[in-house]
Amino acid sequence: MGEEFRPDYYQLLEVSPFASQEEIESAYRRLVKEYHPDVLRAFKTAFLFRQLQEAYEVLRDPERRRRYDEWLRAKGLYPEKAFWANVLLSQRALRPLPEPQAWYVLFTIHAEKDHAIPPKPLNLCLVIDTSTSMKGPKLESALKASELVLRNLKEEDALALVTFNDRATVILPLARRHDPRKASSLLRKVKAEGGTEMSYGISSGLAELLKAGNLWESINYMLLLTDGETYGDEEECVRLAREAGAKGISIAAVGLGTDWNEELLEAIAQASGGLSLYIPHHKELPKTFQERVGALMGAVSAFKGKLELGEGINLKGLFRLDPQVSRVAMEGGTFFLGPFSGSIRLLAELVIPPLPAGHHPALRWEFGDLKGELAARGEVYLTIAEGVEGERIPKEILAAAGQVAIFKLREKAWKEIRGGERGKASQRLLFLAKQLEKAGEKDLALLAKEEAKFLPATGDLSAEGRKRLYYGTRLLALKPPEEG
Amino acid sequence: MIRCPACGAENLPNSLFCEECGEPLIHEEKLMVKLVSLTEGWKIEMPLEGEVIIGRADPATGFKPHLDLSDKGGVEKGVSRRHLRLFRQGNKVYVEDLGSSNGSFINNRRLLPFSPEPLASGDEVRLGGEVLKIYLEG
Repeated sequence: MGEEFRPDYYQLLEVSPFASQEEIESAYRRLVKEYHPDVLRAFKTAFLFRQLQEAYEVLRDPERRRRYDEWLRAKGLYPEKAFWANVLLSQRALRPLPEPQAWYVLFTIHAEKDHAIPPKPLNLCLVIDTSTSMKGPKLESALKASELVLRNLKEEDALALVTFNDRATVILPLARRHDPRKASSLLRKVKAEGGTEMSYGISSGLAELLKAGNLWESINYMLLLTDGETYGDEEECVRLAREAGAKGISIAAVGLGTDWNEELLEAIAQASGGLSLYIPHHKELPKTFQERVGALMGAVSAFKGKLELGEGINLKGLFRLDPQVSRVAMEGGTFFLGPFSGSIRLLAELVIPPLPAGHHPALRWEFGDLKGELAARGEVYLTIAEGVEGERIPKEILAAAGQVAIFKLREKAWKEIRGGERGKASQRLLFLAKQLEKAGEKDLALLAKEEAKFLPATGDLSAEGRKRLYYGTRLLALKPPEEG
Repeated sequence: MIRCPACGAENLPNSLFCEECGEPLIHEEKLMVKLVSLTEGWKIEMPLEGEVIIGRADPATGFKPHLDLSDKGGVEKGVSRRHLRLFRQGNKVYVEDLGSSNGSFINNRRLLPFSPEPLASGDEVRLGGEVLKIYLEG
């Protein structure tokens, strides 16, 4: 024994620890073409080839691979369940520079195919705004949507329904298999009147969800619907959302119409690993509710992540790309990603300080469920070497960074509007319009231009323009630079 | 720092998009490669995306190079099936002999098999008895 290994062999081959020998072979064959010293001689990067060779020499041999896996396991770096994060770097090596430089790491967190993790039952709470403005068709649609959700649940799923105005009312306490007729008659009695104090709704919804007791065994989710601004309890809402996230409960915050605060709903979503949605018309509510709950039914667990940075390295931003672009709210390096189905991409934008040539530990990462059943960990090394210019940026990174770039433009514009910087915000919207046009989003581009025109005079966007731009820019990508 | 060509803002080196205006900062220009046969007189132009393999199609294995010299006197001139490839790395173009039977030459200098060398626009490249002048157009 006494073998010397590096913890990133799987990453170097761009495969997961679950890869078959065939997958390792084909990854090596693909990479060796890019890495071959003959090809890279001009860039003096033979060491990249050497480290690829080193990884391959170990992983190609099932016996050495087994010993390597044991070595990883002893370091806590081997995933015990079929769950992994693939890591892609914007550049495999950077030149030493006398000034800080940018570097991007893209994580794709996924459950391994052929190793299905069984889905868990739902623990769901619908929290419905019943302030006066919801009166009429809006409330009818919301209740109809709720009934649909109830009827489509599986036997093992639990549901609660809470309404709120100036206070919260539990209409359906948390239970499995509600009697649909009884539930319908209770829902029919719901009236819309009074103000909007959302924190009461969230708090009461949380109390219902917590009744489930063992939250680790279920997918815990709150579907929060509002059509208006809440009264002065914004901070409390976000605090509750953070508390929810820490307990493995995510919130989908749904805004109906245009009179609510998108930044608050987004903050609630971020703090709990959920998402926020814009529904222009109440008729879409049943469909939206169904889609959200449908997506949860295949979900496996609520996830969290952790990033630890190497010395001197700074994280400029962390963004998730699925199911929509958003900034990931981090506290002490930890963040919530909510229920997990399919895969989630995360883009980390890093600032690398001036470093000497060599291999530098850049980032330790960890993703797992809150219970600790599923966990994947790894380390990312940064190679600094002379003469490595001209490496091709992977198109996955360009696409992700493009989406994030649009998101950040929009984010900056909002901040400038909030700060009363009308001229700057207007210019920012014009920049946004230009990039939207390039991305083929003509309608959104036109809207951004129109809003930019009126912004200097009004100091704000139109209510509808605000929502359409905020949510429209999160679902599309910037065109990556032309490939040649 | 690097300057954004669209808005002039300063960005960190290796930034992919401008922080200020969202403009892409890494430009990989479309590159066209023009090949002129000095022996046969034909001309052909194609985009250089990834790589261009020059050789002869092999119906037996289904192999098809990007540029097939079978009907351009390739057999007579001793062009191998996989003779030569052009490829891009960053902003540079390279030429590599793929272990051809009759060898490849750049400006009358023999290329070692499987050893890529940089190619400049206007270089003369010989594949067996076929002489090509290669132009790169951004």
